[in-house]
Amino acid sequence: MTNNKINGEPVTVLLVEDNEAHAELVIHSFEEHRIANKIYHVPDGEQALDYLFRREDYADESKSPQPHVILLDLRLPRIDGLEVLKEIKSSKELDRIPTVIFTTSNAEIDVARAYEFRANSYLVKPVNFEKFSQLLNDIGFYWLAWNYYPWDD
Amino acid sequence: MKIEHKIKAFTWWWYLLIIITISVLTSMIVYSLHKSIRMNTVYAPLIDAAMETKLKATMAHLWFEKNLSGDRHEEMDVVWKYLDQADWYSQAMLEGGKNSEGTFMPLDDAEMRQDIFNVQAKLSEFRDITKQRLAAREISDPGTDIDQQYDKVFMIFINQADEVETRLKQIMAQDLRKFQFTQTTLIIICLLLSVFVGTVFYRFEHQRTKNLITLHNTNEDLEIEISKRKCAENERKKLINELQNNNAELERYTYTVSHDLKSPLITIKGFLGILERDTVDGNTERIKENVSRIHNAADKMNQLLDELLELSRVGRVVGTKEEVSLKDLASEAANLVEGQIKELGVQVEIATDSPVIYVDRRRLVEVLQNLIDNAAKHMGKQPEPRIEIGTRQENGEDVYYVSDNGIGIEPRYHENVFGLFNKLEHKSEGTGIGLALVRRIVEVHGGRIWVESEGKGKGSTFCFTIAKKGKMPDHDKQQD
Repeated sequence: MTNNKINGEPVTVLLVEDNEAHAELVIHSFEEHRIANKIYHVPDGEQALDYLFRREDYADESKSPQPHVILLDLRLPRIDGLEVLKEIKSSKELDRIPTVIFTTSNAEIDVARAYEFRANSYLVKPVNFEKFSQLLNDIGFYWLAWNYYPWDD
Repeated sequence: MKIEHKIKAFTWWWYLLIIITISVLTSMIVYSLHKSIRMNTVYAPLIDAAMETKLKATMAHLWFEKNLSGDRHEEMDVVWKYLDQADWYSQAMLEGGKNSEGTFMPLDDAEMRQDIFNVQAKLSEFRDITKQRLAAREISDPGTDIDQQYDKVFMIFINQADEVETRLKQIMAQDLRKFQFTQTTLIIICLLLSVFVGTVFYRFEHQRTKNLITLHNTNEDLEIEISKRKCAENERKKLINELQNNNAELERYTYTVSHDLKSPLITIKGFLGILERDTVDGNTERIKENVSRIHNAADKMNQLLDELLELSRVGRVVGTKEEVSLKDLASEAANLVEGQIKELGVQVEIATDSPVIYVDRRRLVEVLQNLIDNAAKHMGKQPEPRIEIGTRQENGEDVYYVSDNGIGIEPRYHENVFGLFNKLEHKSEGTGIGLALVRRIVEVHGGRIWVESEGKGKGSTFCFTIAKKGKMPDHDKQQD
């Protein structure tokens, strides 16, 4: 049957996370579970947008391929996570990319606003490492294994 | 209804009293008027008539005697004429009459009428005897019987007429007395009345003035009360507002703190988990690195809590203030961060002319230290990083500034930077509590702090004011 997923190509994930330790945890978990993917990590919102719009340092397309999924933290320096979300969802090129909020905050207001700006999903980082690990595993399987993507590469 | 009763100036019996008084006065006036009219129109003429009767008769008598002695016949008519006139007058007294002297009203009194009848009879007798004497002229010389009788009749007549006149005069005098009495009484009553009315008016006016003053005072008191209440209400509103603001800030703090503490916790638990697995797997490569990460995260939590405590303390406690120049504070602050500044190759310039401010020295040094430190860390790719500390005048007050030529802050984040735990650069050290603390310190000293920066690459200037000695704005003004 036609594999209408990514045809064996590694799934690209853009991780927007300012906390270096957290980013390390995420990357580590993905590696552990051997989810076939490529993770690109940017440390703040501005660089995230630069990457997505292929600006400045990220002009080279080969170095900054369009991701299949974006993992986005809300608490970012300078440009706020919600701003980044807004930009993504109001851009014709990028609004299709599933953008998953991945943050420490479970405050209703944050969840509400994220949905308002059309986040595809909202996930809260668990403190318990087992759960953290499990969550990343599930994310991996869901978005990278189960989910279908609309474009034919 | 009750208050009306209390306030009413004149109760019903006052009005009754007034009506009675007026009636009495009116009747008295009418009475005296009546009396005077009577005197004028009735008695005076009557007295006149009586006198005229006597006069005319006397004239007749005289003429007669004259004629008799003078032997003049033609003037007898005069005598009869005089007698006729006397008759007329006496008749007028009985029936009324009118001639050139005036109008005579008839006398009503029965007794007096009888007297006048008698007078008339006597007059008639006199007339008769005059005729007799005339007829018997020759023998009627003075001294004769007939002459004596003649005189006697005349005398009696005159006496009677006198009596009538006297009686009339008496009556008139009585009337006059009554009139005078009434008039006097009226005058006295009028005087009393005017005194009374004057008193009443005075009292009324006095009471009215008193009432108005009381009313005015009450109004004033009310107004004062109202404005006091309004003040209290405003106070209350301000306090409520303040409370709401405080609550909101507390909520923000709580939110911020809980998430900023959660984050290192995730790191700690995460890397502990990894360590566990690595230990089981026998994977020792990254132990050192991971352990270090865990330590750092724990340290961060500690630091966060310390700084939070500091922030809360700063709000409550202001140490002893002293007068110190900005220059000295800046120098001290610069010295504290000398190491980093030298390392980053930043030039620090402190203005030489600087004002003296009245502050808690330690805190202000912290403020400047923080600002200098921030400026130094946000130089970006600036080849000649420079920090300037000085004073400028704005709207008549001193504004102190720390400006740099670093990466600047975009306008939309100008308010943000003072928020709790907000960092501009993810790489910069510290938890970002710095500016929140700085703002707190400035506000506690009665000043304001803000940042001026055009944006990326244009440098930033942090400005703040400090209240002058003895001029700490009170709470209300700060809320505005």
